Amino acid sequence: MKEIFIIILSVLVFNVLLLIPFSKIINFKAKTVTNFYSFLSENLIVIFNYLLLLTFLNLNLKNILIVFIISSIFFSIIFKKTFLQLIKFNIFLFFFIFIVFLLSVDLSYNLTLYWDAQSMWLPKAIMFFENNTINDLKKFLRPEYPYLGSLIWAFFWKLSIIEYEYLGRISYIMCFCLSIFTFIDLAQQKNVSYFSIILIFILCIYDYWHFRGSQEILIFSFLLLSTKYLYLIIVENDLKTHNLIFFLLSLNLIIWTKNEGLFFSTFLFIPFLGYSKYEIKKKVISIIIFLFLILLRFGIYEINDLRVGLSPDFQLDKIFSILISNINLNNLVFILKHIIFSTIKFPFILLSIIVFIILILQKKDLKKFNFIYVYMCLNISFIIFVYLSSTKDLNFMVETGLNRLVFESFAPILIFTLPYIKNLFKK
Amino acid sequence: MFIQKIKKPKLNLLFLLIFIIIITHSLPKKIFLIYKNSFIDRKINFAYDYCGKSSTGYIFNLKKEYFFRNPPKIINNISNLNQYWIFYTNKKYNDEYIIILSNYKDNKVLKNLLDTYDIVNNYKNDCLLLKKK
Repeated sequence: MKEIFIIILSVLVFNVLLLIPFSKIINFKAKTVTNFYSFLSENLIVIFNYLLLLTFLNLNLKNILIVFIISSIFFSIIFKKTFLQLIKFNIFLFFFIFIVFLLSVDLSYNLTLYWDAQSMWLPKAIMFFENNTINDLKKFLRPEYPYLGSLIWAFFWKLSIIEYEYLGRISYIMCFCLSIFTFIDLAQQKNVSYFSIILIFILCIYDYWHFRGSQEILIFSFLLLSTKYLYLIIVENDLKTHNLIFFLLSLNLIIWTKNEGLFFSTFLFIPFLGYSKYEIKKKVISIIIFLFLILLRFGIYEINDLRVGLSPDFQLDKIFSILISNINLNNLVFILKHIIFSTIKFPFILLSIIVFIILILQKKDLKKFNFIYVYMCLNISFIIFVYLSSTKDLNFMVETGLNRLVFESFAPILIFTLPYIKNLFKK
Repeated sequence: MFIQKIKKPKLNLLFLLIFIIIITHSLPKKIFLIYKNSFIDRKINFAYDYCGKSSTGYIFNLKKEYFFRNPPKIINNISNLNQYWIFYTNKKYNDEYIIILSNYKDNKVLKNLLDTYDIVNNYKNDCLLLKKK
């Protein structure tokens, strides 16, 4: 029973960490916490960005932990009122902890790690765990890959009472759950149906397959969080500055999780520029910040003498000649066929498409989702481009990677279910 | 206040969904197996094959039975992954011990190694642990 007790304790400790009001530094005007899960997700976004920032200073994990604990105490004192309000027992916190615990049990039983996790992400997490700095990434396979996932893994692993690697991966479960909880929050209803809908979504999406140490679940969660802010900004016309800041910070998390994250974040940023109603000055500042975040990603790698590049599977100098030689009807049909197979494989995509068709039949106003159409067009074009411009065998690439690519990048499509959820609440 | 607002059929649906999650993921059975099997035993028995395609289970078992100051050298099929992550350290391997796994079939290499090493653990002549004489 000792291990079950440790899982419960770890889930509780990780949750207390999420309750420390780090996000108040951005959203300091809000006097009370009106939306519990949104507040937690904002804390999560700030905490992960803060951890990244500390690694830029070449601190090792032990020192990061010390700085983090001091900052946590500092923020708890400064924003004592909010912190006290949060740590009081409430049904939302209890429900969140309960669901995270259930999924953590499944994780702690399965334990199998995926190929990528064994070869790349875990060795990098061990590197952080053994108190090395990002300078040492050059000793590992694929040093050009981003490291946020390994950093989070190692950080929560270190924070656990017992040094079992899977305790670090509970943070991935928390991230996933929080993205779903916050997403359903957009329906702005708090009754028992709200919890039921969350569970239906978790049933549709959760599978241990996503938690084998690979990074797709993090990209999925961060994309969902970014889409939430994009929805608030574009559809709800909620043009508060803190929404824009959290949107940019969540894009930064996507950039630092996987190489393709750079493209996904750009695909979300483009419709933001096109459809948001911010004044030109704010849009220009946003462009500068977004470009700075991309430059920072490569700059940090350059400073630390790490290889700056995207993937050895692509030869950037020959990419267009390879693309042109691979473009033919057979290859296009082959890729599109597998994209369709993948959408059937993941129930949440299928569910979103069915709801979307129902909304069309009901002649609902779907223009508000223009930003998602733009994102999806760019995303599908990107997937086709990636597979057609790779130097490796197309069959092998599609069969080993397409499912995961579709899963992570299709997260924003869930927004189509939102009008239906709102209708459910009305009834 | 919140509980008072809850209408019973909706509450029943919520409990039904929690029940479905618990059953579809066999959580009671998994809690029992976590209780019965330690972290490393679950790695050996449930997570990976023991002495077969990757033989990761066999290495976890050796890790449990022997004390290695540094990870032993692992000789495996070229197409297989680097398996030093099993020791949860990035320390360089030490050739005081050598692990030879089932999918490495080069008998010539094994014969040469046996001049300087003793077999200290043998699983069905497929997975071996050698120690320097």
